[in-house]
Amino acid sequence: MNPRDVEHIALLARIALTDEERAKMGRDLSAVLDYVRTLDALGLENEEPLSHVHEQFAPPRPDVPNAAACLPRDVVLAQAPESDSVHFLVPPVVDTR
Amino acid sequence: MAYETVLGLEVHIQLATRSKLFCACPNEFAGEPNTRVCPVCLALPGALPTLNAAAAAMVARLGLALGANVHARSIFSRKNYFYPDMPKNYQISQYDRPIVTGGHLDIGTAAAPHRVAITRVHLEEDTGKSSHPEKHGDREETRLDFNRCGVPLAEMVSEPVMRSADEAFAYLTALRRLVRWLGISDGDMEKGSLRCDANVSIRPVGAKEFGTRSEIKNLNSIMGVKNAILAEVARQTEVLDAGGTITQATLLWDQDKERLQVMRTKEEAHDYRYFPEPDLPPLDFSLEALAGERSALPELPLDRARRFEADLGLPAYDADLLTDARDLADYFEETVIAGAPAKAAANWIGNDVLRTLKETGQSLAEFQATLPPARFAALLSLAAGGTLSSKLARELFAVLLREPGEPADLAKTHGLVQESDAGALLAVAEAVLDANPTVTADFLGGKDKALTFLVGQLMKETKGRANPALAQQVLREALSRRATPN
Amino acid sequence: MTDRPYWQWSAGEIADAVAAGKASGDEVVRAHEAQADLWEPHVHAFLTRVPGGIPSPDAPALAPGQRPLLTGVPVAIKDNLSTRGVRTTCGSKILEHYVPPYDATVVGRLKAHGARIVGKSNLDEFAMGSSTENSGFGPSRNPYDVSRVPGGSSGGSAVAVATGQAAVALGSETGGSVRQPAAFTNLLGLKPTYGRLSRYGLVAFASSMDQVGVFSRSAADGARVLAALSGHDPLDATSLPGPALDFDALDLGPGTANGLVVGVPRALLGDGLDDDVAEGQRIVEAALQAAGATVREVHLLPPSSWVATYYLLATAEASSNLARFDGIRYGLRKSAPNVLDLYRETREAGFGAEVKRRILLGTYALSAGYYDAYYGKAQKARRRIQQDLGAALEGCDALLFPTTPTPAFKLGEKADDPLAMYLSDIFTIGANLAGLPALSVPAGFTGGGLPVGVQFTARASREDVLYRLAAALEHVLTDPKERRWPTKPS
Repeated sequence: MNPRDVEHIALLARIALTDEERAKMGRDLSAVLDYVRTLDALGLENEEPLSHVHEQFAPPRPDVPNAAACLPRDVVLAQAPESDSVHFLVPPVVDTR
Repeated sequence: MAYETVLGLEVHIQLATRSKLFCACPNEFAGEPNTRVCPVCLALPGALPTLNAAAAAMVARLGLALGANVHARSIFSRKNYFYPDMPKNYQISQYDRPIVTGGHLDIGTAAAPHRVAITRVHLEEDTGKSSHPEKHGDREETRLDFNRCGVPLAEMVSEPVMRSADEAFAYLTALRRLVRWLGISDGDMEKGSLRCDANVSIRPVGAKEFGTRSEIKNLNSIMGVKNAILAEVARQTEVLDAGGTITQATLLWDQDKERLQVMRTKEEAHDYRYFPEPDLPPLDFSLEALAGERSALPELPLDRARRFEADLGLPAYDADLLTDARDLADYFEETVIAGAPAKAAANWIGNDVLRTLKETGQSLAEFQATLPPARFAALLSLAAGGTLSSKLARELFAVLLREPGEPADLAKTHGLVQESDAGALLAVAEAVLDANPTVTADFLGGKDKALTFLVGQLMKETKGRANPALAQQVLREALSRRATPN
Repeated sequence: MTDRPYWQWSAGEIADAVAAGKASGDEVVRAHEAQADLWEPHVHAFLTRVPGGIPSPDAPALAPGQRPLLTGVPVAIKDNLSTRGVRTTCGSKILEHYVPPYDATVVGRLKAHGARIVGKSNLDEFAMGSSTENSGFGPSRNPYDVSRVPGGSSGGSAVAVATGQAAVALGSETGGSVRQPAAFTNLLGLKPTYGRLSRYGLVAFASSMDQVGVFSRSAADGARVLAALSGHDPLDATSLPGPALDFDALDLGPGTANGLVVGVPRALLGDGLDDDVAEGQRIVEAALQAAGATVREVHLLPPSSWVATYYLLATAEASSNLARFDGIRYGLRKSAPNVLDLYRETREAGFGAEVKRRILLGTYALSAGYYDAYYGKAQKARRRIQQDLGAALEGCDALLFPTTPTPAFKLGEKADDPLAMYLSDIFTIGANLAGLPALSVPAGFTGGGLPVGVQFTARASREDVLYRLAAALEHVLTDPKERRWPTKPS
């Protein structure tokens, strides 16, 4: 995988790779993707995809609110990297590219 | 060059469940920021979603009301993208297997029916709210409130078959009515429980291919949708007429300035990397569950209007007015069942009741507590039976809103009973003729119009309580007795 | 019983003695802490130790009819399980100071059963790895040879139990992260049926495969913990319906394997298999027959397809599950003038190389134009693998084959070769893909004193078969009371 492909994926994944990382990732990912071609030998065209390994599910949750499940605001904000005690604070959403 | 407008609407309907879609936090409007969140809707490490059964049932109900396919099995999918108001940086939504596909929304009236085809309706979770960036010292900051995270939404997508801003207006009005009718949402665009994005393009009349479309967001009133569409159609027309081409864009509608602006932020071409949500089972509706929802479906507005026309003989205009909201239709119908004549009930509700609600700011439910259907029907029966003139009936109406008691009793105690005793009136008539010899002579001399004055005098004498028709009749009788035989 | 120090006692012995008032819970904990003081400088099992154990004033109540099974038992918990008020790092710098406000369901159930949680153990960052070398806070070491890895990703939990710092431990499995370290450290390591133990509070790696796992030194102890933690959790929509497993109903006596049929896929045990591992397999097969079980051959797909399938699906799910670590609401934040750069710099600084590698691989597998070729194809392969394992299990009660291709490797040996590291999971991954329960059991030692392990795989929800087979082996091969403990380096 060339560095430009890697950079596109890194942007989707919101990770700012260094040049060195980008180069190594390209090699590592290519190696894994090559290995993955072994799946082609299985002849899977007509197989149904599997999303869940079992079908034993409980029915959906009854619509009963539980205010006790909510966290107090000071607890909610206790881990916030930045807050004004009421909201979480972040810099603006601007596309700098 | 003549262009045709091509419109599709995507509407997000906040569902009126008691708890959120994927957690048990209460689903309530507004509230102090960040006080209605839990590990699940805040996306703390390790938290997991659990589906709210009522939200799924509401989407099924909407699908049935739209005459659509409600699928026995549908799948949740993750829509992956990063945004600060979305804690997981993915939204649990539905992609290739939604609950509802197909169907149509009736947007016309009983008088002039019209349908818009629907593509799909699916279930997804709402995001939090972020403020506009504000300066704090030397930095710009955005404030985040996650209370709204996880509120259930039904996303309803129409086919791109609408052809005018008016049609879009009618669509949203009809949809608002329907979601309130079904009890699944209060459908209020100003409060944000109904949100609309419009996809707008134009093409030369007769062309088969669609033009490039714009997406308009941030619409928060039904009138705003109409105005934004008109503005965008005008803009695209101007561009094409000048020989230019339309580039696909996302636009925001500025309600105050009444103009469109291109969105500042642009996600790179959206690669949402959808995949089936592993944390949630497929959503299954059994045949019994769907049959249950179908039988619990209320009679829909259009069907009810048509029934009012056919069975109760109401004109289409009245039928449409009374089916604007389900509680209004119920109030009308219960009043008729309690004995009121249908047309009278329709008139009174359409005029007096609605006006009272507007003037006092009451809800129909509050109004109805004072004037329940049976009491209202009693009033209307009195009016229809001739005991009350329409003027007196309206006076009694006002009394009923202020005082408890049976209408018949209150009419008597307030002296509002219409005088319909011919004998008593005759005596008054004689007195009126005695008091007005000149006019009497005028009438007897052939001036028919003089009767009106005399009727007025009789009404005055009886303080308006005389039955007007009877008053006329009695006066004529008295006058005829005074006529000199020729 | 009284001449053995508390840190050598089984969880069952501790629970019975403390519940009966014959032993002091605090003294039991102190004995295990003394082991930690001796061993930690050499093995680094724990990221956070909690002196005296985590207090449990707000432990949830037991379900009606349940009795406490873990009174006074010191338990280590992998640091990707949420513990209220106690730092939970997932082995990552991005959560170095994160303190959760809630307990994972399994943590609450441990507390309800009277357990004493003595600390949060080391792991490969976000459970991604097979050696604990990917921890953001330094690796753990194998107590049987401190120049070698203890396995991963649940290496710290394995080390804690192997050295007597805890009686039992919780880890987590996505591709073998409990069974493989168990095989490397002379322990039993259980991966339950998918859905058997609640995932609420287990920080997600690959949601459709993740399961909390159990480390123990005996079959009875493992079954005891499984019983205490099992039972439907309404907070986890993938949690199997039904009540907790009944520990008291389980027969772990000498004859319990009588009549059980064990299937061995001979084709997996080819020439390339390490000699010591092959010997371990032979010893166990012979012991099973001595215990009254039957061993026969079965056929399975080559496991190379397992690894490819796993690495596409697990990394795809991980790329989505780890998106929430963004510097907005908790954890590390790198300041930036706009949100896009905040995300990018925070995640670059906070995630280690292996985590980044898997996120990128997973993102790629899901990306536009590649979904069908990678993720979609892997989902189809997964169904095929589940069917294949199911078919093999039709004729037997459990499968038996090695847990790992080799014993514990040296620190640094595979660190630079991700593919080699991935291939070391080759035998364990099948059970995770199929959602089946599997148990690694000790199968002897190499000449150099390194543990070797083999694993049983049973049908869905048949953990009872696994522990019965393990118990039968204990009666034939090694009494847990005559355990070969690691020797502390001087």
